[in-house]
Amino acid sequence: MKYSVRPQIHGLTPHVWFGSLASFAACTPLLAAAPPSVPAPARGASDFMNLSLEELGSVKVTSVSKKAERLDHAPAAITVITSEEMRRAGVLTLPDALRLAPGVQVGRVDASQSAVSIRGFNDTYSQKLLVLMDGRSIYSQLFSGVFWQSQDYLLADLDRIEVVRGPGGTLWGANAVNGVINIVSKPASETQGLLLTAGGGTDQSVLGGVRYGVQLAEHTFFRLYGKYDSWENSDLVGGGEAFDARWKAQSGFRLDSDPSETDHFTLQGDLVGLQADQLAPQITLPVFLRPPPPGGYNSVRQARWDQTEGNLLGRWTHQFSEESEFTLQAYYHRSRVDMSLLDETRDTYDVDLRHRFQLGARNEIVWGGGYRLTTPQMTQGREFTLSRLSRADEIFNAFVQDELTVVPERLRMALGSKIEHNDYTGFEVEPGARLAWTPTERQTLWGSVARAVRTPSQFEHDASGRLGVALAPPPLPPVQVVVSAAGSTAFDSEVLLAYELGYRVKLSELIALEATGFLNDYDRLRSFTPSADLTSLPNYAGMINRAGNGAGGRTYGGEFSVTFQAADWWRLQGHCSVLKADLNGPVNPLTNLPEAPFISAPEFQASLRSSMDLGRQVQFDCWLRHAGKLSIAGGSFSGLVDRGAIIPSYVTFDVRLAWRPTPNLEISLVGQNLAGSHREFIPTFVTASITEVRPSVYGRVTLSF
Amino acid sequence: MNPDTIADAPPAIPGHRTGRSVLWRWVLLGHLLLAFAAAAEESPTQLEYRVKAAYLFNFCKFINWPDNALPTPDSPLVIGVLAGGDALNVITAAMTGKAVDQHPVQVRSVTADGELPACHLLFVPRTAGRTAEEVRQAVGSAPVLLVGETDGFAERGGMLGFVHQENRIHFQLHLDRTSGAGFKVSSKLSNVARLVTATAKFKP
Repeated sequence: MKYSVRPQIHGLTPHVWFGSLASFAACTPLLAAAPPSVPAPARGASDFMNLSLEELGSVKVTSVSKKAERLDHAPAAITVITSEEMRRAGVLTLPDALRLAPGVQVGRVDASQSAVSIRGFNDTYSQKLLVLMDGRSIYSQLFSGVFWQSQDYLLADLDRIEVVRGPGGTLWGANAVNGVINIVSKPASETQGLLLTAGGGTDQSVLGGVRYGVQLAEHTFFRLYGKYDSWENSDLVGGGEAFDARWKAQSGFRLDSDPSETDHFTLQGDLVGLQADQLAPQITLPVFLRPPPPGGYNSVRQARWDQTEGNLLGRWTHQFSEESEFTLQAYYHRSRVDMSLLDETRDTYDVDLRHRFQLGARNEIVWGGGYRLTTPQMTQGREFTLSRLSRADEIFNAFVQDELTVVPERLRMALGSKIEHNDYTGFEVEPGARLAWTPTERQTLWGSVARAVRTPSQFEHDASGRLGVALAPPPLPPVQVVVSAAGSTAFDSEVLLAYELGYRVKLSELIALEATGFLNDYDRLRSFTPSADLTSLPNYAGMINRAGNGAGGRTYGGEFSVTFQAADWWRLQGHCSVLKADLNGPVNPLTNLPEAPFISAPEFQASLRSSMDLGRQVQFDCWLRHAGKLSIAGGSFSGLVDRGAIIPSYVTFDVRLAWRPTPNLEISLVGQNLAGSHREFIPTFVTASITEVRPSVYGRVTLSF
Repeated sequence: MNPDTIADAPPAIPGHRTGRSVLWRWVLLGHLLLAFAAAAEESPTQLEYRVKAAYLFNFCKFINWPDNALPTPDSPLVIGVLAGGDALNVITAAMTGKAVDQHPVQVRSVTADGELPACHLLFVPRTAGRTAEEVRQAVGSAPVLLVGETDGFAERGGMLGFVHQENRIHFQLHLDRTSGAGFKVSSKLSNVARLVTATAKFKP
């Protein structure tokens, strides 16, 4: 299967091409080791006319339309997780599916939330990661992150997930700092007929889905789907049941049409409704000489997270000629989230256009631009308040990239940049340069330098709120301290300059390897600087942690993955990643010690998957995973007590057994996290319940007609 | 309850901004130099049609039209290109000043069905959007050599069709249909061609 490594707003693989390294001297004939593949004689107008028929048949012409660039030659750390892999791994949520790619840190927080990141800085809201579903950005500007709980597709309708590690700012824009995740669904023509799926398990009380696909006209296909899942309460660390059960109902459609050979239209939409139980913090402000309430100043109350979302997306692709293609995409998204902190209703309107064309023999240019308007409306919450309850934020962006074939089929380089204007920080520029060398068909060596930014979230600019109450430790007087965090309109974008190097090789038809290394240089990372506020004494002292851009530093590491076809019926896939951090931060005026941000990701992670086909009807899959220990902020925010929490390392495994008695019926049994209960993550801003991941089993039946 | 009494956040730590913009400038310069150097070359489509134009010229050399098609020794040999496009420009340039057995080669763009029978050789580019069957019916019984480049053109109604294989251009010849229309095909051509018949199944 060919993968298209092309940057697209409708989610074919990002064609992350960037230009040369500073040593453009390398592009001189010093590199002439690789013979060019065009005929040696200079090509004047009459040359071919004198050739014989046989000679004409041996003239090499380059492929005119490079529609699908082979993944093997892509100059980026890109992993494609196929629908088949997701099915065989038995994953039920998108965050779990992302564990299949190297370099991605996934930590389950509770039954609805997960922390997902690439190359560090993990947290519930996946700040430094841009995530797209069929070209629609699902990155929310509220917290700078993704509400993973509401993002989903019917597994059978998912085509693939493209995971690009490394900055994607040049083509994708702001917030694609550490990576880009592109979730792509199958076109309607590939999901025809009726499909029914039902199941349940120890963690999931119900798993159900239905899809109906039909051909409406000669070149027009349609599908409609519905899905319902409900999950039970997890376990609390230390015993007891958490309060985090949830259900989600979702429905949607997709329509694809090719009215002519040169035009393609897609229209798709989804509606999601979900509800999750959660424990919300409830802080009682101390009063001088009054005893604390029975539950203490920091208590929790039972609350509920209610979310409804809908979206409609349209896309038109037109081919002017073999060498020129144009895409226009527009979408509307509406969401309403009612969470314990506050309520938000948000409308997003987005339009993007992209044009790719060939200029001369060796240049391929992609350029485009877009506009997005997002209008959040908030209500004041309990512990948090916002200085602006409604906004109309606009983002304008334009980008251009030139991909140059220096030596045909051997050396390519690309250079590009994106310019954006947003309402928080004004203009942002994200240039990138990349070089790819393919010495033989089976190997690619590539390198890149790129800049990316993470723009501020609404919370970082407008919000302030209480996090908890703690007694001041000695040698301070025994006064109650109310710890809070506050944003600032002076909070600026975080900046990354990333250097990457990668190597990909196909050792034989049976073994393929990939290795990547990176050095990330961060600047203006978010830091919190506490200061005392004594205006509420004698009731309590305030400690306000104000957001600023005082942190920075470097992270470096690499990922390695190998695929080995051990036998016709047995495939092994393994990957591991290493991440080291050298971060610095401002001095805490209260302790006089510098406080660096947490990398919030383990130093080492590994995964090994075995897929076996036992006969023609049975499939058996095993998946072994390891994550190293993790130190994170974990809610202990005060600066008065020890910073951070440590989550120990764990090893766990999943097993899946599937039986296909007939081609259209599949029965599967999946055991997950079978090595025992373990913790995976605690978010920075408090979640009241700290849960652990426990062993679970589920079964599922899928029928197609 | 807004704790607004505290001063704003400390200023950002300055980065080595100057050094980095110099880096980008060199990278941009290097890229532009190379891009301009390469821009003078032709596009892949032009190269492809120059090869096909040479093939068309060879077809004219190795095929004889029926007697009344070229009445006088110097009547022009008309090559029609259906619906113009990129192919027309390249073929016109290639055929400038060329002649086959004293017949000067003329290249024309044809669009209306009525113009088709006036050509001796009709080339149907892929951008013309016409199938081999349609073109064949439009031509009727006039002695027009039908050449196309879409998939299966020769099998489905045409006489000669170009095929791309591993970045090289070859051609198929439907011998029965071509001889049946009154053309005499030299063995020099039929030996190099990939012969197809009407019963050959269309391969996707």
